[in-house]
Amino acid sequence: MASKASSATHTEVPLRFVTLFKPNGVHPPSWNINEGSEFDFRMSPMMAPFEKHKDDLLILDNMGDFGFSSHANSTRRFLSGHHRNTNSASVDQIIADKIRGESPVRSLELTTEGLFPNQIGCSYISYDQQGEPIPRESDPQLVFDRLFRNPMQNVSKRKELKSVLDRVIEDSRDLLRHSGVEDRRILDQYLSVVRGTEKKLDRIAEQTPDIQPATLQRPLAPGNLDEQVEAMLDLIAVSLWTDSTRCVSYMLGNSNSRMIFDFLGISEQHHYLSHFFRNFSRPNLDALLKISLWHMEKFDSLMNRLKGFSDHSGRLLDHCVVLFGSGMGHSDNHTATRIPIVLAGQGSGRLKTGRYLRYAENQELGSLHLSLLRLFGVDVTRFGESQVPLPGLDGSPIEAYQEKIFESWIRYQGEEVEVQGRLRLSDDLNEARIFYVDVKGSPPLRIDVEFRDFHHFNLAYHCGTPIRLRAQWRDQNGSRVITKLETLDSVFGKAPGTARG
Amino acid sequence: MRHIIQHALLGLLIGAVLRDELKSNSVHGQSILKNEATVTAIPHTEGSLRWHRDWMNEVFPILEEQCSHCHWSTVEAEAGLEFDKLSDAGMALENHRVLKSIVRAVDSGDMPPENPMDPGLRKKVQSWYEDSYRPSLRALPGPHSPRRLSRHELRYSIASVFGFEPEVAIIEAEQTVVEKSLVLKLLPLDPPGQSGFTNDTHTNPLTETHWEQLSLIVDSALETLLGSEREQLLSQLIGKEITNPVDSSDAILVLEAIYERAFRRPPPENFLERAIMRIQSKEDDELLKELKSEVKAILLSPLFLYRGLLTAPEQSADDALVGRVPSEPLNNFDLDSAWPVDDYELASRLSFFLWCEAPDRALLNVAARGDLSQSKIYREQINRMLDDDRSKRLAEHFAVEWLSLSEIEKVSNNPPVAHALLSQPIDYFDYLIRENRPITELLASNYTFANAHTAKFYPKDRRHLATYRKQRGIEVEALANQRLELASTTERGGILTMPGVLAMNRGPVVRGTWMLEKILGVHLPDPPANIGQVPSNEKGEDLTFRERFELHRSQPSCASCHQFIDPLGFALDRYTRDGSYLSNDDAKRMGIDTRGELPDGQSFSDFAELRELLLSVKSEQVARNLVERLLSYALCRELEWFDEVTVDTIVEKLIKIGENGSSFREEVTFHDLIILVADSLPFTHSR
Repeated sequence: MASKASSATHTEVPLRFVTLFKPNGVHPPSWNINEGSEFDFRMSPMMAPFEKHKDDLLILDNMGDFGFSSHANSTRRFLSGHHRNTNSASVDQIIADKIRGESPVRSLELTTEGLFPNQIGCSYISYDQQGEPIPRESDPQLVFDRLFRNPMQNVSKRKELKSVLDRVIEDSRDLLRHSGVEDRRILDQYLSVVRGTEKKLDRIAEQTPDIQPATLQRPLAPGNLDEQVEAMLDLIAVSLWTDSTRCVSYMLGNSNSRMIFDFLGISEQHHYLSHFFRNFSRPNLDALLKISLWHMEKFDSLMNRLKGFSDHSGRLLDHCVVLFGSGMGHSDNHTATRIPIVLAGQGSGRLKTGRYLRYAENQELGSLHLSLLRLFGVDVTRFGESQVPLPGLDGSPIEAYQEKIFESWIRYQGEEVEVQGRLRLSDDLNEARIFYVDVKGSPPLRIDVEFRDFHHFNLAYHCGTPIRLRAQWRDQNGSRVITKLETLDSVFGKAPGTARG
Repeated sequence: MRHIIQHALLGLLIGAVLRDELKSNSVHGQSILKNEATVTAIPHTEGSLRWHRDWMNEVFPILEEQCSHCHWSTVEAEAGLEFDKLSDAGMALENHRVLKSIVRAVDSGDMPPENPMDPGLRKKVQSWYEDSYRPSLRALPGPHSPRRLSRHELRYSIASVFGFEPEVAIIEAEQTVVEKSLVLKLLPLDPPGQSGFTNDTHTNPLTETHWEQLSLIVDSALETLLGSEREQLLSQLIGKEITNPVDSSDAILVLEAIYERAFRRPPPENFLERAIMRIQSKEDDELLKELKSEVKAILLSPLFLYRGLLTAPEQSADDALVGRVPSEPLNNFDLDSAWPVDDYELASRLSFFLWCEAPDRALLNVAARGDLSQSKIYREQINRMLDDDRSKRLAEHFAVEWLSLSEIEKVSNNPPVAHALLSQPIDYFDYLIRENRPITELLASNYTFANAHTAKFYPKDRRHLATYRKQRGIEVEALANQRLELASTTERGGILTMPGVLAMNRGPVVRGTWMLEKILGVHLPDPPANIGQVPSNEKGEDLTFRERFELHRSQPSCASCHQFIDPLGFALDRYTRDGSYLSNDDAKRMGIDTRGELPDGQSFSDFAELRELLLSVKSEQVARNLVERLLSYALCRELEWFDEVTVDTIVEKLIKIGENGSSFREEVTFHDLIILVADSLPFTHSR
């Protein structure tokens, strides 16, 4: 079985762009990489399923610059740069136009589940030139049939359909002999429809040779989400390899997905679990982490497949750019900073992988998109609301995150405490709703507050940065614990975006 | 048949002339004068000649004199009605519904709006209609007119042919909208036909898109049928165990079964013969491949895709009349142009009517024995089919389309809430049919169907609902309805006070128009353009919306319709935009005034009293409209002048059932209605 790509006479290697979207943000303590530099870093526990692909990955950190964000807006930004960018195409669609070449299908927009009408933006990442959402397809068999069994493209299917056409035409002629005026009118109308299709097939037959491998296996009807996604990932790799299309966006679910992962033994909805602070319980967190790991495994699956096909004296992955990520960072209070974004593949030498880039400042997603557009040869100076491309994807220097020096101290006054230090989430995944302030020379000060405080002071946004706070503390089992926040300020004046994202 | 051809020719001539002359005239978006020259036979009896003559010489001149300054093509015609187009009696007949509404408006004195017609002239119009025109009308079945299956009919029929429904792989989660049916996902939407129903596909023919998508759908279904569960699925189809590998004799049995189910009758002999020839000598993969293209050709054949195709008798009409004896006396219509449909066609009509799908094997077997036209067996089949779950499609398609209930989906963008509001009238209507309830319960009852999402609308009785406990980890979910006794809730019961129905019709004008059209069957023309806004209170004024509105629409050209609309709509004013019921205090504080009067003088103080009037003095009109809508749905076409007598007959029979029992209100049930429609002349005959 020869792929069109490998047997083609074109000298130019086709470039591909694949997006894999993870619903419901992440649980930061398990996802974030907290230490490390560009070449010297340790992947986080959540990244374990795709750790083996480290050399082919470019992990970006400090992506996104919104304090709070709705599911819908953060989803819009994922490929459109900014949620206000509602009347232009998303970045995948612009790239699709640029790289399509001779491939028969411009792009595939895929998903796993239905529409969420209450916030329709949660259901789409790909938008057309008018900024209108592009309908998504969820059924691997249907996608397969359209790509590979389409009589307009597949010679043997064309022959089959022709013989059916001949048969119904013959039958209809038989019927015409027995028909009255009204029946004849209907049959003539029917026959003109059938002949229209016949003519279409004939025109195609003259134009294009058979280009589709005839022996591809049609996917089986999936029994659950896992089978459905595996079949679709298979199909994505095959369609890229056969050069049936060069651009695919695939949502593993709506950005606020209510799906139930029953095949993992979980009976709560994903969205409910993703609010791991509000709905905190040990079993809930376990279930959430299980779901998140499953998402990571699907990214791994895609990577394995793209590596498995050889293409133009290399691997298929070498000629792809893969964008994996989510719309928001912290899934409980919807903080759209430190959004998980991983690029993969070499893009025919345009992307330099095996690296971890943590930018000094929170980056607009639009900058990333601008860089991707340039990388694919689209000549634009702005995208969404961004005009400065994100440096570093090709190995160019970046302003890397370096913590400014700050003092840390702690002062108790009766039941009040004032403290300056770095805010962080607990390292212990067993207590994911707990924060700490690290203070040099004294034990970390534990923060155990209600959801209201967590949300009001946006602890998730300031997480990992130096802050100064005033609070009430209580003694718990012999150590001091903050139970109620009064004020919270960033030491270096960082504040979440003012626009409600 | 001679006169049909003559009139068809005449029709063509008229049509050709009119097409050039006419700009489009519309009554509620529908052309009152058809574009196509489909003039049907005018009964050429003595009576018909008289009404014809009288129309031309006496009645039409009255309209010309009295109505031409508003309803004429030379002026900007009010409501798009141009009466000069009705000067020809044939065209008047074609526009039977317009004719009826003209007579009604003149008779009631509503028209002309400013200077009521002289009583003598009024009488002339009225008596022409009653004494000359109506008596000359004859019940006739509709013309033989094959039509393609609608999207829903295709969906259910494909599932019944294969024994499974082709589905889309998509994960279903709460609060999301999914389309699981491959047929519904791929086929284009059917717009409603002239009748307002989507099964009326006359004006929406098969297109290449339909054909190509169906090809894809059938391919997909065949992958399943001949896939890994092949033996089991095929055995199920032919009712006989098939062992691996499938041999050609099994394959022929499969073909025969599929032919009969798909064509709703045995296939033409040469179809099957040719198929057998092609398949006979083949085995294994070759055999399966051949079987695949045979089945595909069946499902893409015009005999599957169209209803009624080639069901007209080939021989002369006299021979065709042997067979079913209809319940109407035969001398009511032209013998030489009509025929009773054969048992297979009757089975199809019945099945598509009650189930929206092709007949099942049991019904086809009855048809094959030639027994279906026996009254007793026919009724047994109707009862069996109404008992079956599939009769819910009458609620899902007939009731939803008749009452425009899909508008309810727009009330909430949260699917479980929208589902609760929409499933309420559907489950209710299904219950009325399944339990054979009185037709008046459509409007009034002391029970409803509700769930936790709709419970808030029944505060006094909601405690009777089984307690709902949300499962841990589920945010909002769609819920099944329960039957709820309305022991203390007098303001609900029936379709009209369901929250979804109230919320989809916001404001008194929309509610009044909806009730007038959907429940009373009165069709109003579109309002004139540039009617402006209802002015707000000026300084010092303290008028309610109703008072300001009534001032605003006091012009005669507005009042002629609004005098009917407004009392109905304002009667529902105690129900808020979302369908809640205002407390006494709130209603008083807001100055809610639900009093009104029907055009013929009966007054009511609130909706409960209005509803009583609908069920007493207006019950015949309500029943007549229900008959018209159901008959139109069953026939998949708009009703014409030749259906008038059929409708009269059914209404009279319903009234008689009431008279024979205790009362119309308690005795006349949905089964009575459905049986009368299924037994009617146009349902059982064609011409």
